[in-house]
Amino acid sequence: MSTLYIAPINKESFALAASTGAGVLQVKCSGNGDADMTPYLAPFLRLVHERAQSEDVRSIEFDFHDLYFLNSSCIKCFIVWLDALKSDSSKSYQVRFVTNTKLHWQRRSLAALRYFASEIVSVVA
Amino acid sequence: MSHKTATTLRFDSGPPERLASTVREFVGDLYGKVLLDEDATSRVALAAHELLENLAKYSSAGETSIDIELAERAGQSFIRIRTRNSSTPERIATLREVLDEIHDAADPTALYYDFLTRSAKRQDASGLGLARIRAEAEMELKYHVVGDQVTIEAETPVEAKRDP
Repeated sequence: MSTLYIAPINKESFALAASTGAGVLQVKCSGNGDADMTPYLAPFLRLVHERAQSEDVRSIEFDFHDLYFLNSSCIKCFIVWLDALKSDSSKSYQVRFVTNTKLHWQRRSLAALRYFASEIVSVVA
Repeated sequence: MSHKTATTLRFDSGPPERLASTVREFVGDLYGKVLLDEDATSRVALAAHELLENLAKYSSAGETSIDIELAERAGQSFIRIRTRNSSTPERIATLREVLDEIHDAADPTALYYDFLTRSAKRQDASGLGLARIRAEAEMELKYHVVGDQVTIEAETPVEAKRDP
């Protein structure tokens, strides 16, 4: 099975990078999730889903340890993505967010994502 | 005696959206030094970011401003963020609808989660920012409209550090 390459995105204020190993597709999100990230995030998440499907991934893990903020437009990108996953019967993976407890906004914002898609989303510190 | 602070940023039109992170970081740095609670600082910084992005997206021509103030009322310290801008009648009507719904909600978090569901189906902007301020930043929201001038206020009680 061929591997779908996801090019990392490195901008002045943020970075998105995906890597796989042992059935886990890890996505490292860092910097500021603000208006600069929004145009890149939705297409990036679509590629993440395609790669997860192509590699029979069991879990997608978003590493938010160095993500200083997500604005509401970026949260919408995750909501739209999770909404599509919820209704995709071919999807066979779970989504996990790894947080930084020192970044207090993450607790509340990720609780909202977990509520929205509780059957597939978990949040760990 | 607690520290009192007031910061005002004025722009001769809607501010660039990308300034929101700069303002959020400034608010986090400043109030990290004057508030006792890191979580409160994070909430205020979140609200400042969302409100500044709102200014960028929805202001019509003319001056816009954001004021962030630590003050005291009846012995209780509080942070108030106030934005002012002009806007179109259509945008003002939408704003009234959203803010009235937020104001009337018995459970702001439940309402925000409902907004998330609606947002998944929207093709335009997220529509989440103000509900997020109410639910996640735990700030009360008020607004005033005079002509085409819109003022939005977000306020929360806080514990400020005291002078030794």
